[in-house]
Amino acid sequence: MSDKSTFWQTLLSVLSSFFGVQSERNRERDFREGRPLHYVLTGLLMAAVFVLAVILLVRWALSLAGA
Amino acid sequence: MSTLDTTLHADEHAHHGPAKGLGRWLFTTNHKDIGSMYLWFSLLMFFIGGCMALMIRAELFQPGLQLVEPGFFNQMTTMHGLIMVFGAVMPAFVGLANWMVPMMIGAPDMALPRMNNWSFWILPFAFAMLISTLFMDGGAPNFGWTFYAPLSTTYAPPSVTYFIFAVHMMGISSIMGAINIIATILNMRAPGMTMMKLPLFCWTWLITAFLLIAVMPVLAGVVTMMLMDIHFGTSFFDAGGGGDPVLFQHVFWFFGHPEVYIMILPAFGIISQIIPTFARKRLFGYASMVYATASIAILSFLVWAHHMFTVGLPLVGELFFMFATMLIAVPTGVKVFNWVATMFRGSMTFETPMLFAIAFVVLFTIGGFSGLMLAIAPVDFQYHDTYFVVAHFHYVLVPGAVFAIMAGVYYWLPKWTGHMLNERMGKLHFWVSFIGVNITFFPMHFIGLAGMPRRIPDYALQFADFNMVASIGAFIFGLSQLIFLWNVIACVRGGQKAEARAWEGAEGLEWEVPSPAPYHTFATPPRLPESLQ
Amino acid sequence: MVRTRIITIGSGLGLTAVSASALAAWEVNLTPGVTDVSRSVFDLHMTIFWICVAIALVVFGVMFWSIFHHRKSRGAQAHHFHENTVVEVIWTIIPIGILVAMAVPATATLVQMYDTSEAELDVQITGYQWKWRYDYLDHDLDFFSNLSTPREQITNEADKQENYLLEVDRHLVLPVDTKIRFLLTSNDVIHSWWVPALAVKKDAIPGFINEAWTVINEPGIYRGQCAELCGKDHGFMPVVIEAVTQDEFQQWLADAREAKAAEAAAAERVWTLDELMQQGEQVYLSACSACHLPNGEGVPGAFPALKGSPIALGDVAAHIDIVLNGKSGTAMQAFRDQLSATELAAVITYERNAWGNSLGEAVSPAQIAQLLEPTTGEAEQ
Repeated sequence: MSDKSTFWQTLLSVLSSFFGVQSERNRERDFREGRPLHYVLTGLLMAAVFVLAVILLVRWALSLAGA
Repeated sequence: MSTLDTTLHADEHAHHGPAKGLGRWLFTTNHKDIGSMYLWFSLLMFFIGGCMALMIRAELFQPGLQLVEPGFFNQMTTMHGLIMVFGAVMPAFVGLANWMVPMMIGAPDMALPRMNNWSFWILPFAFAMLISTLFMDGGAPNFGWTFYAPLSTTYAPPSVTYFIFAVHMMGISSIMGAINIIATILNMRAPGMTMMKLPLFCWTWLITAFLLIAVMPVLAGVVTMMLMDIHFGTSFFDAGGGGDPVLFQHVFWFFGHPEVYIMILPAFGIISQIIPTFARKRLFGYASMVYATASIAILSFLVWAHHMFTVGLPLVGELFFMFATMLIAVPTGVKVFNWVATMFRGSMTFETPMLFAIAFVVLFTIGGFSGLMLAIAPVDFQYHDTYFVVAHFHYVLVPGAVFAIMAGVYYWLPKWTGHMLNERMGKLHFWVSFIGVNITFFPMHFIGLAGMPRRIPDYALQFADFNMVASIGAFIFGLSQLIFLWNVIACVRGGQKAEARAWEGAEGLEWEVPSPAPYHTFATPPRLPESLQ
Repeated sequence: MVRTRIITIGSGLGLTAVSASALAAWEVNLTPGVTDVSRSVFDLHMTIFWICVAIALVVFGVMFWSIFHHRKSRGAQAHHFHENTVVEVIWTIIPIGILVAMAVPATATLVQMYDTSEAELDVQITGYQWKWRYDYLDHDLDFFSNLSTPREQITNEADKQENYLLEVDRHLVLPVDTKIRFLLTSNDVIHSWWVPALAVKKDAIPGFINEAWTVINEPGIYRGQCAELCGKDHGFMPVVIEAVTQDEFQQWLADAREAKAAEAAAAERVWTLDELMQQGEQVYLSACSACHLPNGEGVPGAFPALKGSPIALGDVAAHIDIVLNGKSGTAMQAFRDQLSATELAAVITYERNAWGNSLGEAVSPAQIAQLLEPTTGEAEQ
């Protein structure tokens, strides 16, 4: 249970770093509880997700434009 | 008992003072000595690169060829770019890191002091070799600092081989410097100086160091491929042999885009130290800054082809890089708001470092805006490779990175020298630089939009007026740097005695040690002061 | 002859534009251009520009307001807030929203720019150091377009004229209201073909063929330049488009083909040494002097001297070979397609008899014409 919530916390922290905003409270929690490796791996994973999302966005835009 | 301890300590220190003569500088492993050498080297390169810039601007003062031949003009633009990027801006940041990172985290020195010495001493040789190409048959590299193949391979002057070797050496130096900074920040922090409390300058440098380690090998790889093409019969970039000239650009910009962040993140760090000091208020959104900077390390690898919108990428590729660039740029760009929010309802004073920091915020943002415009692919077809681009990246690099470096130098000079800066001269330098930089680079937006391509030694008559303005500005800006040199030398030689906390609002471990900082600081780990606990 | 006629037309049209471009000396903005695409690009440009201005006013407004009011000398006390996640989220979301709004029209314009289908005229554009070659693929017509600004103007020995550095010996003549597809490639290094009025900029890359297209709405002369650093004379390879009505275009095509035939016929007659020297000097100055310099002395380490060179004074066959076929791995191009038989004969003659090279022998146009016979066999490849 606690593992799961940590994963979600890590994920949320990575997403908020992509967005560029994080609260002081979460930051303290991350640095107290988190493991750097988890953040790096999640970051790489999310970068891949970001790439896929932008590719899907492009495909969707092209299908709308009829090209 | 404790008296004995102190005497022993004092004794030890006496034995570890700086060595005498030239040997001190050749063999030093002291982070402060090495930091100073980096900074002086960078200043020298800044002046050499600056002279080249002035030669360029002098030729462009009027239409027609007056002073230099087109071939030499291309050598000047190339060498100016290479020297400023690799010789002035990057070593200046490494120098600041060398001086400040150990003092900010309460470490006695860098983690790998001998390597530190080596990574500095590579640089003078690398740049001596690069600059010596100017005197070779066929001249120096003339293919632009982006050295696109096949202009830099099949059609390059013979000196390109020296250029490749010099780039390899700079790369080795940068990678070693980066390893050192990472090792220092991760392992040498004083007790209680957790990652959470790390000053933002250390954070941005930590991320920058990872970027450097990731991309410098890519640069080394691409120049090695060039070397193979030139001397060993391969055809990586030669279409005639089945190679691909566009591959060069992909690999180069895969290095080049993170390199842009390498040159600006430490500047963000410096500004984030200075503004809170002079606003007497903590940095607004420290957490956001740290997180956004961290994600840049990954996301900056995903947008490189926005430098290549006109090479004929497929439509899908164009759209991908346009969307990705726009999405990623915003969270980084809005960090400007954090600095404004830090100033908001502060108690501000405007000493020289703060003036440079404020100018950084304004002018860097202007560079950010033109960057936003450049991200829009269909419009980029009109902007690409014109003076609009020149204006854009000079706005982020000169009143961006360079102003941040100067702000940092003025901010920490009292700590380095023990003397306060002559404020009148500092302000004079600021205002002349500020006016000069804008007269130089702002009209370049106009001539770019009006249609003047970059890297040309002569231009059509309709670009004449703004070019003349820009050239005048360049000489104002260039000459104003002599005031900077004078200020630094004067501050080293004397001036009002600086206190340990040289600026009223300054926080951090570096302000807990006396000014000038003793040759060895934090030989025993410090206790964090109240304000940092 | 055709050449001079086109120059006359060009300068005639240029004169009407004098007043307009004299004002343009302080031009500060992008041209809206003369095509639908260039207008959408211009609109995008202005939209994003005003967005930036608006953001700048707000941000710098707040900043200067607090610089003025929250200064210590006015007795301001620092307020100790340093975080507000909600505010940060808001000021991040707003710019993202604005940019997404920008991305929609930008995508539409980009899709339009990439639609090269159903073109009515194909023009292949090849970049050379430092000139453009235009090939009307379906009309058996191709020619080179060189900078025509006299050297004296560049070196400040003569007054600079209206279209200084933006004038060429042969314009790219194109019909209006026709969808024209450009196929871009390069013979040597990467160039970039750019005409601001059409909002077309595309790299010409050796080994690649890039596509772009345009429909020009108004007749006129449109000027542009090479936009990618391509070596020494990168700044001296302009693009000049002459947009004419469709009827005029057909007439021009017929004239140009006729002139090409006449030029081929001229190679048949016998030329005197003086005639060849005279034409040779002109050809040399436009085609060779950029590298080998007008005095034939070259640039040591980069471009060899011709004055006293073993090739210009040695075996004539070897000299002809290097001029016709170039030298691979160097900047020396193959000129067999770039110049006519007469021009080639003249320039080789000139190189063997100028600047103290004095062999006194002429290379005849007929001799070259024979070598230029279309080579059908693979042996030549």
